[in-house]
Amino acid sequence: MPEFLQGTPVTILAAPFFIVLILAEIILIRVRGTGGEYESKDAATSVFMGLGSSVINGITGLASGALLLLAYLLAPYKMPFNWFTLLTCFVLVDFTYYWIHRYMHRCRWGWASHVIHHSSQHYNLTTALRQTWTGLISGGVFFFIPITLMGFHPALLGFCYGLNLIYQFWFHTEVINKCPRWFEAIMNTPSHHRVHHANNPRYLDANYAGVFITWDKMFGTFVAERNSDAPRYGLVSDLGTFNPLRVATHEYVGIIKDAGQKGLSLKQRLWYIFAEPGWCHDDGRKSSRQIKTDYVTRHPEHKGEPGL
Amino acid sequence: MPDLLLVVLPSLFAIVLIVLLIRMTGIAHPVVLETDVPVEKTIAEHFEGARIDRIIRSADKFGALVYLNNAPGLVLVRAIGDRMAVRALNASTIKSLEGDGMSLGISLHDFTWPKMHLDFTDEAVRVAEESAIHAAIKEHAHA
Repeated sequence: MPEFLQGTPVTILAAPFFIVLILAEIILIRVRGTGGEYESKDAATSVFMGLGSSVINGITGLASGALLLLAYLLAPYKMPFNWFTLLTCFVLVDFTYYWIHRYMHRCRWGWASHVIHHSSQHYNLTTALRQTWTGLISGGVFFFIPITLMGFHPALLGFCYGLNLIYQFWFHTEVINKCPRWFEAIMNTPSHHRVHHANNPRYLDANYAGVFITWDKMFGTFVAERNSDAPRYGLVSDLGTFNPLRVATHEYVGIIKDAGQKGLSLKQRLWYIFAEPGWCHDDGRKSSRQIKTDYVTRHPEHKGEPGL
Repeated sequence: MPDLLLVVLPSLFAIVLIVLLIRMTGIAHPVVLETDVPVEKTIAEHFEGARIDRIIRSADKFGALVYLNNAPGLVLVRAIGDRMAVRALNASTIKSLEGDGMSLGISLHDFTWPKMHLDFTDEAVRVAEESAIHAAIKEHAHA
């Protein structure tokens, strides 16, 4: 196995560059007077969530690695390490990332883990670091098993996943408006990902891509950013705290409360865990689908537009 | 697994550095509810078509109680950094109301926003508002 696939994960190696870019973004916003907003408690919470994620997932990641290694050992053919397999693995990881990400938004169990990343009402480079502490139990690792069964070594997969996450850092910004047209057409960009972080009805559940936005275009989840509908960032119901522990666990607490209500059937309890976020047995809350429907009812002139 | 200290210590240093730079550059503008305007804007964003009856701002200028003429009836607004958080108040979201002198503690069934204090100018106003909240919740429950 090549040396660069062993040792410290690439995301940890990239951390100093992340911090330098965050400081640069703050200075740029100050100098230009536009192109993003920062708030000290929010930024501190985001970076602390990133720190917690590195530590916790660094430990629990061993279990994920073991599972993938087991699958790799069962693979009938082992891929050699070369540039072609590296590139192929990178594309496969990005394709898989799209589906993991889509699952995380469409199933409450996955959402309970991923919601952390969307819990800030800001969109700046620190938001990229606001990552889950519960990646192991989210179930996302199972999506990677087919790649290892195809003979790609888990270390190569981990390396490609790290590169994928590093790519995703830079586009969490409002400093950059639009990239060149050809780039916007193929790659994930600040504009595309602002849509993903927005809670405007038309933007909910859109743009799940990691690196290549083409996956969203292929699978019908792409929505372009509109000047007439500026993104509002955060959750449908924003958090009332900066406490990292509460930020990391609040959706799990919600699941326990909801599924533990008296008088529910087993199916309803399971739905509170695995149905789409916002599902409710008595219509007390709304899913993103219902929010979109309500919006179109109030604004029929927008019916049929992308995302609605 | 990378050496934990190599991750933790630089990260904590980075947090301090980022916070200091944000403060020094003055780019953050925490919300202080000096007027009703930010509350009205927040209500318009979260409850399209809502008609505000009256707004009671807390004396500490960080929260407000908003009475609406239409659903959801009663709303709690809170400044959180330079943004606002909003919750509709009803029988299922309020855990308890605890009046004490000029202060009214509102406990919520909400893990990320379990409690909030609204400070009033005098005790009589607090008592009146506490009764008004009870009435609004009852009215909305029957609506």
